[in-house]
Amino acid sequence: MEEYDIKKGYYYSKGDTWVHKEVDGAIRFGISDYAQKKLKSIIYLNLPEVGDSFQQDDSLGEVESKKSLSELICPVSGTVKTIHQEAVDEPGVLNRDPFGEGWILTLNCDCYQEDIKKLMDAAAYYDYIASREKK
Amino acid sequence: MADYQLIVIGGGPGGYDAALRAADYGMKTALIEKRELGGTCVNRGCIPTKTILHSSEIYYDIVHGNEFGVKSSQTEIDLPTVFGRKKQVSKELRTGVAGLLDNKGVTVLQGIGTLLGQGKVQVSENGKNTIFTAEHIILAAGMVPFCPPIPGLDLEGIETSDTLLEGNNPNFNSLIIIGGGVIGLEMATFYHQLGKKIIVIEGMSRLLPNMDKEFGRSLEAILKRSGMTICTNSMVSKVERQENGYNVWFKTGEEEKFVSGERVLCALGRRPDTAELLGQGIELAMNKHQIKVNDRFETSIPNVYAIGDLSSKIQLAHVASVQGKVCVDLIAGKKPALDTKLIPICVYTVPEIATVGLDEETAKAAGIATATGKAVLNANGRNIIIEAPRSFVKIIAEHNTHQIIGAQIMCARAADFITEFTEAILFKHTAEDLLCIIRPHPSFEEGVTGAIENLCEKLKQ
Repeated sequence: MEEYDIKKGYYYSKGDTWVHKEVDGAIRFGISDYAQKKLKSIIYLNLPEVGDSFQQDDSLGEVESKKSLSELICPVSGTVKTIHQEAVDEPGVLNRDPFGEGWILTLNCDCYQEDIKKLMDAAAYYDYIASREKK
Repeated sequence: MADYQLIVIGGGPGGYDAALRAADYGMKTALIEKRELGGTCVNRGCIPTKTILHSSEIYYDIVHGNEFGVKSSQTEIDLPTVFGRKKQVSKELRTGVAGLLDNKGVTVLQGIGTLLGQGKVQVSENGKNTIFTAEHIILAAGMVPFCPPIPGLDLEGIETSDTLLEGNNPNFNSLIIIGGGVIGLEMATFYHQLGKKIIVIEGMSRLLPNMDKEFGRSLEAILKRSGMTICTNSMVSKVERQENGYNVWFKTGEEEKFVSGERVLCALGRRPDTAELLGQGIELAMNKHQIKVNDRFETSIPNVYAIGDLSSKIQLAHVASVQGKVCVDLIAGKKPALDTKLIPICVYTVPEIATVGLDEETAKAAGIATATGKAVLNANGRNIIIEAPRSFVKIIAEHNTHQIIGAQIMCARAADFITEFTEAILFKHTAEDLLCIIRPHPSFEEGVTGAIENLCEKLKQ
């Protein structure tokens, strides 16, 4: 299997999005290294507005590359708190640094601990990727 | 017996089309115009902006033509000629309108038209006032640019779209545009293509705030990448004169910032031109700043009607034109053949934008269960040929019936192929109906097929 960066301490959806609670309590959202490698050159993010609410597994927007369009699956239920405008202005940062400067938005989430139980940790996400790569 | 069966005040598309329709029905008709025939559309709006945009597009394509094999070391833009041509095109269209009205026997009265009451109109010109009577009066006086009372917006030299389109003193290097709506963005496109530094300040969270959010968001990304500065969520608080132009202060969140530029364009909307329209003591029921009308365009004074920008929620030339015709149809007791409700709206940015019917948000707000098909046109041949910025087609259908209820297109020539969807919505075509159509290749329009296929897939879910 090709090498993919799968950060520990992050939780992953089946839509290849991640969520991570930062030190300051912010719940950040982004796409995985696997996702950005499959998409290749990311050119556009179609995102919701601050204040929009989503349930876990809802589509909250789209990420576009030159070749394809993918839905962004919301990993935890919540309300959009901030949008990372720098990523919107320069979406290529998601390819370069999907877990760092490539974060997409933050969410207010009241049920984070409950919702992440339904997500994959790093090990489970590795297995999930591996199962898809075999096909 | 009245002087005329119909008097129309205002010679823009609404007014002249109403007058021509009345003449077709054999009604003795007069049209009053205080400025030039053709109104805002021909003289200060649609036609002038598209004329100058054509010039800037040519200039931009040549300057950036190297990779297309077009090499030019010294490309100049001659702004006096650009604006001179704009005047020429407007004049040609005005002459055409005058000819049509003359051929149909409409009396054109030059002067300020003022409603004095039911059946009575005054025309004022050079201090001379003449009163005419009419069985029916249509008010079609249009709109004028509006600058809200923000400190400094009344400083000398602050431009409106009217003044900027005059093209007097066109040589400046930077322009701050207050207002990220249609007018602001079309002017931004023109000056940006000429290489000017452009800053757009918009108070709402996105450009084109009254349209599908993807238009404004996508356009913002494109314009920023092309070098424009775009400030959204930014409310202008004051404008100051400074040595080389102006400082425009704005609040964004808790912060107050300013940007500097040689010129400032106030593109914050337009208001009905009612200043000289209503005589002393004449009051009409209003809907905020617009004249209130019913479904028959009747105002609160019997046999007095208002059409176009004066009364319409959507202020566009083709809306005014249709309303003028339908209003006269109704006056003449005929059943109108034209639909006044389904209005395509186009914005002449790069890429062009066109929309008709509902978008996802308005459909959701109306409680309609829908499916949306979308195609992003990265692989469209024509788009690749011209190296177009991000372009897309979105089509919305009612989930139960599969009937098309809306379409949004952001693509070169979008204005030229939105009508497929106006027709589809009007005649209740389904997604499957549109799937049957062969669209030419290579064309921008064939991108529609991908969106329809995606829509049909979504409707199966």
